[in-house]
Amino acid sequence: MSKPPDLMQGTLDLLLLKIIALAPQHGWAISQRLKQVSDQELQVSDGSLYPALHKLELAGWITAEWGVGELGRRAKFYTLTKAGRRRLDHETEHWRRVSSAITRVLQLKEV
Amino acid sequence: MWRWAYAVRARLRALFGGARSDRDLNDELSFHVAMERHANETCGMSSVEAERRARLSLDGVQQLKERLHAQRSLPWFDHLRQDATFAVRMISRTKVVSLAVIMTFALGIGANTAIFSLINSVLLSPLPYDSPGRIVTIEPFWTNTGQPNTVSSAPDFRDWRERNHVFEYMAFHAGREVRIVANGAPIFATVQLVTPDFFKVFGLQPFSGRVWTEAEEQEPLAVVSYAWASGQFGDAPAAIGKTIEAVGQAVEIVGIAPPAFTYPGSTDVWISSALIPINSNRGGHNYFVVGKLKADAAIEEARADMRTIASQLEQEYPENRFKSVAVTPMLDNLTGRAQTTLWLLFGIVIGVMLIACVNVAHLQLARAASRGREMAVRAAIGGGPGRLTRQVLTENIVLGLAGAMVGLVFGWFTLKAFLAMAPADIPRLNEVHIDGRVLLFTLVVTTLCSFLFGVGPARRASRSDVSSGLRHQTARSAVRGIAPRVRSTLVMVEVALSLVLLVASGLLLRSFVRLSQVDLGFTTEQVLVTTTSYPTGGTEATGFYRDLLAQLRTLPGIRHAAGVMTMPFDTLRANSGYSVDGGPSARDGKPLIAELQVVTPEYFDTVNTVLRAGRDFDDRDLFGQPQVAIINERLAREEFGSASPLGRTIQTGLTPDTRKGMQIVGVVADARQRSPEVPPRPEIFMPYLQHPGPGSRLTILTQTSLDPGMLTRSIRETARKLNPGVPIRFSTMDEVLTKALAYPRFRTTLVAAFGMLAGLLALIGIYSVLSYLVAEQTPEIGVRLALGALRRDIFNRVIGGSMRLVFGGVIAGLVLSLMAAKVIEAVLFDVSARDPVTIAAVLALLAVTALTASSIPAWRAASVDPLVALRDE
Repeated sequence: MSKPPDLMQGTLDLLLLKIIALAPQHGWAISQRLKQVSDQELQVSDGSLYPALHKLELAGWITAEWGVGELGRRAKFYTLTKAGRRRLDHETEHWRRVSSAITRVLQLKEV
Repeated sequence: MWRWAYAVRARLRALFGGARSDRDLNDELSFHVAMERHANETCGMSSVEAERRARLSLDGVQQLKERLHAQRSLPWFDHLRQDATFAVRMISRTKVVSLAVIMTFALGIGANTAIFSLINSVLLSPLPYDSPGRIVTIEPFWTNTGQPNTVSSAPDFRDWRERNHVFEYMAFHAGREVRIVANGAPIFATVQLVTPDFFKVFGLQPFSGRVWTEAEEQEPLAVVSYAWASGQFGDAPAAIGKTIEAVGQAVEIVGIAPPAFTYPGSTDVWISSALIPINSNRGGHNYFVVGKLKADAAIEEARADMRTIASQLEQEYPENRFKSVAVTPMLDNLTGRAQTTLWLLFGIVIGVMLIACVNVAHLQLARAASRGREMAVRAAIGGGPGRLTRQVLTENIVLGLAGAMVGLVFGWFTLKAFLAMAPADIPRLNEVHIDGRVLLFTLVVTTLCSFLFGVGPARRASRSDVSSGLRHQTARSAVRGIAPRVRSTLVMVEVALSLVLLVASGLLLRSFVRLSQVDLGFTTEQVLVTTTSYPTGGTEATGFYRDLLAQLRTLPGIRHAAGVMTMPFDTLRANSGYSVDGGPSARDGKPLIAELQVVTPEYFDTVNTVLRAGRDFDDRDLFGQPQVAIINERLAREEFGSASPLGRTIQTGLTPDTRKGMQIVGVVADARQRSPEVPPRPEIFMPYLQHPGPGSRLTILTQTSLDPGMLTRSIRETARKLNPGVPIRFSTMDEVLTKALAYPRFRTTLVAAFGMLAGLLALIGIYSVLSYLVAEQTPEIGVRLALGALRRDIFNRVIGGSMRLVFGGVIAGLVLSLMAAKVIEAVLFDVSARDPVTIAAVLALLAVTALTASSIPAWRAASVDPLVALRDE
């Protein structure tokens, strides 16, 4: 099994914001969703997931509420804030521009 | 911007959530582990394997927890919290030293807070009026003598007001305490006659009712102060519409001033100046002029403009020769006299604070030394010097803040005490309070002092040598020899500062003693003062006084009774130019000026002023009879030298009659009428019956063989029988003198108290340093004793060492004192700022106390048991 490619700096934040934007959810669900949608292509270690989530929370992009999760246990649910929504839009736009630029470069014909 | 709210909330939760924040972190991660395990079990793993994998997925639960914790908190904040917690623990463990530090800080800060509150409220806060920066006083001054005049003439005022380009409003006021009738009873009240723009100058918004308009200038309307209205009518607004009798007319109250407004001084009633005749003589100076500058006019512009007008007037009117105008911001004008005293006091409390800080530094150095081992251990297990310094500094600041809190309490009580004993002529005392600016000042001073005087000991403590610190067994020897030079310097600084402060207190004390003993030229004992105010003026009033005095003289217990127009030490005094035998009214280019006084017969006997030549006035010196006058010795000496002045003629400007000339019939001894501090000036006395105008407002003095207080009933009854409409109030001449000395007494008491405090603190400092040095040298002394040194030599050595430090400090202190001489000279009476007696006394005091302070540790050193000392090592 080859190591998954390292995520670009800031890309993890973008992915997390997007996943949380879909629905408020707890850390484990976020981790599962990430694995699911990327077909295991993007593997984020759960050990990096939580620091990233907390960083977003401290920055005010997302906020957390405590609720009851599966198994009837106390769980921390993350929600996007308004600022987080704007941030997501902005970052998404940025990602599109960068990735299309990279794609254009990669499509150059070799002689 | 909500983002910041979320961010701040998350941060605060992380920082202060404490246990809850930790539990949340736990719950979040254990939920993850549980879910993961559940998923693994569903895939068919054994429960042990499922748990292991789940934990592994987080790269180690504990490590992640640490990582998240570090991420969530601010490390410096955590350290600060640790430091503060530890500081509190440290402080409570070394209770005695900590208490000493806190109390020392508290004394210094208390003194500073109290004095700064005074300065803040009196000198720094803007006056409580509308646009106070634009309010000025306008006063004439004489260009040939440089003397200010404070009061102006009405024609000058009118010209200034019409010709100037810089004032939005200009007004004058004149007034004093007079008789009015309120609620049917004759009482004293301070009444000010003001021109219509007076209230506009201050932007006065009445508390209730209204102020009169320019059109109503001739109407008998009054505005009264809030305090007076509530005192008279129970409730201030109830005064509106009430009628009082003032200046001989029925006047209706139409407005109540806001509680903060009593300008000038503590005025009770303001009425229109148009209700009584105005002195329209250009040479008659009676009116205080105030103005409000236009919003765009600078004070320099105003000065230039007013000077121009004054020189025009000089050209136009011969009376205005040498008369110019000074424009002064009202705040400066009000506080002019208090400034020197308050800044002097501030300098002194800063000195006290410095000494307190030096003491704290001593204590901290001692503590640092005794903590050498602790510091060495901390350094050994990885505490960097920066971290250790910060730890000690935090302790200092915690101590400083504790001291500041105690100090604020001290300061509050000190301030109350000041206000209770402060003389009435310090302006704005009713506005004094501890406000945010004072608290900020206290906080800044505390932090600054804790930091500046803590950073040295802190770095000292953190720099201790790890290996030697750990090796030594006793905590004390671990840091032997810490900074002896630093400590010696601190002692010298302390001695120098306390010398300066003690010299200052000594000088003020001596000056005050001189002032209390000065020969006034009259006596104040056994003299009762009866203040009266007759409803009308003229011969009706002088008749009343003549009858009253005649009857008083028959009362048992009364030796002499007399009346006087201007009481000694009254600030409002009449003076005027004079000339002799129709001669010149100036000498060497300077106008001849004399104090003018109107008295009844027996005045000089009543206050024991000696009649040097000629006769006293008697009841035959009537209006219409040849005008007579008595002069004081100074005037006689200046005008007549050794020749007799009796029978010569003197002219002066009190009334048109006095301008024609009065025959000199007597010469009396000089008296300090203005103030105990001001030497007597040339003075002319005139008999009241010849001057029914000024002679109609007299204060009655009675000299008695009894306790003056016992006479009040019979005097009151006698006066009431003659005229029940005359209000009467009693005091004694001794009280008048006490009041006149209140200002210097206040200054002296404060400076002396702070000087003592400084001396005491310095003494404690010397004692503690020497004790510490001796304790430090105990093993060495033990060795010396074991080797045969004499106890006497050990004693002398310690004393000698301390005296060298004291000597160094004394030299520095003397230099500082001489440098400060200029400042203190301004408040001294009859004592030089370099007075050798005072300096010698202070030196002796310091020497004796320093010797005492060092002899205890020296004696302890000499009584060291060599065996014990060596075993300790």
